Amino acid sequence: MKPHLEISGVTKFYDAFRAVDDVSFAASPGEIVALLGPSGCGKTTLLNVIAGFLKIDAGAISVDGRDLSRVPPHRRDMGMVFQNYALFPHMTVEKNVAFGLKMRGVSRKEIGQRTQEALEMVQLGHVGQRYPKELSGGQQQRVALARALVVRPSVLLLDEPLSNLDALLRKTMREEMRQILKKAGITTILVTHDQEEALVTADSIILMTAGRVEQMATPSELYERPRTVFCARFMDVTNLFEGRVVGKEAGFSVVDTPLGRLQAEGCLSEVGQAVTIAIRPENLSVAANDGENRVRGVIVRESYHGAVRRLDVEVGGCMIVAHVPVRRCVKGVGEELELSWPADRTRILPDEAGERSSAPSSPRAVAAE
Amino acid sequence: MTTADRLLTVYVTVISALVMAPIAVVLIVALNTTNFLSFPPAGFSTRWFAQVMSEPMWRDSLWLSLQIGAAVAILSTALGVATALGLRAVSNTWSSALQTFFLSPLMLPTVVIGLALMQFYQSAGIRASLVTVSLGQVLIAVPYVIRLTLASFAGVDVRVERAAAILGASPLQVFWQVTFPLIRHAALAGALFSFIVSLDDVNIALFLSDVRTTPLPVQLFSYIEQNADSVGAAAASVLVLLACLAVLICDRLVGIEWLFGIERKSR
Amino acid sequence: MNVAAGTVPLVPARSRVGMNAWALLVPAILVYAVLFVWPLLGSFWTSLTPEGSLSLKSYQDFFVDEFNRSVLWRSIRISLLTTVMTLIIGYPVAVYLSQGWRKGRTLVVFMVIAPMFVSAVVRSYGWIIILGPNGILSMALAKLGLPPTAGRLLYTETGVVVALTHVFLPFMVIALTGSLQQIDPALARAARNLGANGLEVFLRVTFPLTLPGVTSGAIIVFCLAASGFVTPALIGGAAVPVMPYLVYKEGLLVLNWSFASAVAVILLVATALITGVYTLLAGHRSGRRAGA
Repeated sequence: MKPHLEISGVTKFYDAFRAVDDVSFAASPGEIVALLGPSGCGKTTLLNVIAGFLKIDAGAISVDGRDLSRVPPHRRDMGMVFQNYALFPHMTVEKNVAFGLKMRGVSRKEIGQRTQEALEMVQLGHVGQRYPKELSGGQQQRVALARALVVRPSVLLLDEPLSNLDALLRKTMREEMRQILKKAGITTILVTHDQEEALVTADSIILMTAGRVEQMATPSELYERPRTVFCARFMDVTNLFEGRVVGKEAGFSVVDTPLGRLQAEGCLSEVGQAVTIAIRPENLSVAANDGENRVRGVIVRESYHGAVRRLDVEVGGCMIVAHVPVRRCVKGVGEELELSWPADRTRILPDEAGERSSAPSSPRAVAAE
Repeated sequence: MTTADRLLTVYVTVISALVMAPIAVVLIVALNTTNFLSFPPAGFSTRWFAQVMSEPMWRDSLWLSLQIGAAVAILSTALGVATALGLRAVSNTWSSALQTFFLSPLMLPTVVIGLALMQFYQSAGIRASLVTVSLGQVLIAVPYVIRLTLASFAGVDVRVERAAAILGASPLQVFWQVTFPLIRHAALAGALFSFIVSLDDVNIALFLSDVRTTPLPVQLFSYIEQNADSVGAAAASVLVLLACLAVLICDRLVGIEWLFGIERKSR
Repeated sequence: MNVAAGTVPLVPARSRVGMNAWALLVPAILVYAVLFVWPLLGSFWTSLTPEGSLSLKSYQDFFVDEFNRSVLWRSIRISLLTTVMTLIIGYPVAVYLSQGWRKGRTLVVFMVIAPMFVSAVVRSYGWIIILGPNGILSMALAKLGLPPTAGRLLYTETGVVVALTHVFLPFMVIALTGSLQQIDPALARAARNLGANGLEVFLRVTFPLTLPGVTSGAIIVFCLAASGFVTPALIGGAAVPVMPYLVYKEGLLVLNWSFASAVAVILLVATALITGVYTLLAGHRSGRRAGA
């Protein structure tokens, strides 16, 4: 499909600091793209650049092939929902929603009609005469969404739209929001630091760090096949081990790690290469024969997390974390157990030696070259 | 409530009474039947007010004061709000340097400003008039408007303005539809503040006015240097009443506690 | 504090919706240049040119005369006393105002702070009525069978300090309340939890944290008191001349502008020096605290 929104080589400086560094991506019509990353990674700056609140230092932003880089915000025909909703405190809900239509010179009759429709779409048809501060957080969020959508913008920008809601409401609102956005069919850029929110809401996710794109992928790909150590860490992969590829076997790589010799997926690596092994805690099994890889260790800590039990297991001097279904685990602290997991659930990532990430949780068994 | 809390209440009550006493005394003397300071008052009468209102000396200077006050209020508010808007948009370094500059008339002795302006007007050949006094007082009123407006900007979220912009409002529309309505009360309070600053000012007006253009406080100052009687008290009471009115309106507009930076805490 | 001095930190300029900032600042800069900076410079120049040519004669005249030196000294003394008095009287009031649970807060704001809206002429007049020879105070003392010594406060330095304290108390209370309110109430609770009693909490936690407010309040009141003209003129009159009175007399009655300007400059420099030294000392102390 032809891209609707195109970002190419966008760079933004704050004095000497590169807040956004040569970012490029495209969104097809109706696609929901999440900009995900830790705070300070440049995602909000990028959103503000797209909206036109910040001047661009290099690159281009275009919608439907029209370059918007030099167009002021009020002529970009975009919609935006702010983290704190930024509702006009001195206007009623109805006036808030009607504001964009008024600025576009829409006739009075049509304004009334479309405003009511928009409010009904977010199930708030009855609060039009109230003021924003008389509404609950969830209601304010929906008013903000209605206000942004009623003008039928070409692109919708969402800046941490759910982060001011409590945990329970956030869960229902993100499902509801995705439904509304999909129904409206609007190309959307969603900024969030919450990976779960990105996974649930977006069609594709751009993971950012230090102003750059670390990985752009679909939610399932990012979750299951992170491309770098940073991505893996951000997506909650707790088990990372340094290793070196020593051979190939039946389509798998054989890697020497502090845990012992393991089989891992991917034929991209070469023999002799220093790599990092990534294993998701929930892929580890306490049953003996759940995959090609097997290790024995002693439980040093355990904690209860509702659906799963977290076990910290010491194996040959390093710690490995396993999330196992509560009923499957009968052993306690101090007891020995065997963990197993399949080779195709063992990611090989390029070694992070010399990169920016923080110190790994496991000791380095193989020195970097 | 602990004993310490109760003691503090008593103390604050006493101080409040002491602060109010000199003002109350003026009102009492103004309403006294006798034309000299007698305490307790001999009886209730409004004749001294009637005298102030009928004597041209008082009536004219009151009218002049109101005119000057209105001029200072309008000029200072326009200038102060525009300046505050500008200060908000320049870089922080510039903003704090310029703020210090714009607020500096408050830190200088007003007689010094008055003397300097008098010499300036004389050397420029400008004669004392309503305009010279007003322009002088604008200097000590604008700083208050700037501060009040800047303080009220603190309550204006830049994202609300951005929301308006992305919805299609031009910078001018953003200002009139969103920013100004949100700071309107502070701007009005600033106007009232300027009016009162002008109405209370003696130091600058003393230097910039002549016999034909004497505002009420200057008239009153010269009068009570010579006589301490009920007519003076009645004229003073007019100033008190105008101040009360301004305080009450400010309280309705922005809340007296916000005006003085003593905000209500929510717990 | 919203109406008192001090700069307001703002959000970085780059986050603003575009508008031509300097165009908005030009009118004020012009007004200040023409009506403030230029006249002040002119006044300074006048003080340096007593007979048309450049000389320090006006300054010399000032310092040679013992009377003038005593006026300068009196101005400083009165201002310092007023500052200390407003601080002592105002601190408990500020504590009261900073306590959110107090029901009488708004009323106290009206009674103690709002009077700054009332002209100093009016308030000084009130003190004349109270302190005058036939004033309320001496009458009350006479009724009690005491000698009416309090009546003699009019035309004395003490009387001037009393009236100035009354006039400038609101400014001190505003500054102190502002800094008291910035203190996190959790700090006092933490100190209580660690075993400090109410007095110890105040002396070791609350008071040290309000020192910046004390500093700014003291500077504001000192400057205002040193430049106050109406109150010393009405309460002290010619018997208690202060620097602004001298400026007024020389500028408007004697019409010796060069000398009047010199007095103005000396007053400016004196207040700037004293507040500067005070700020340095206070800054040094708080700097050490921050570094510890």
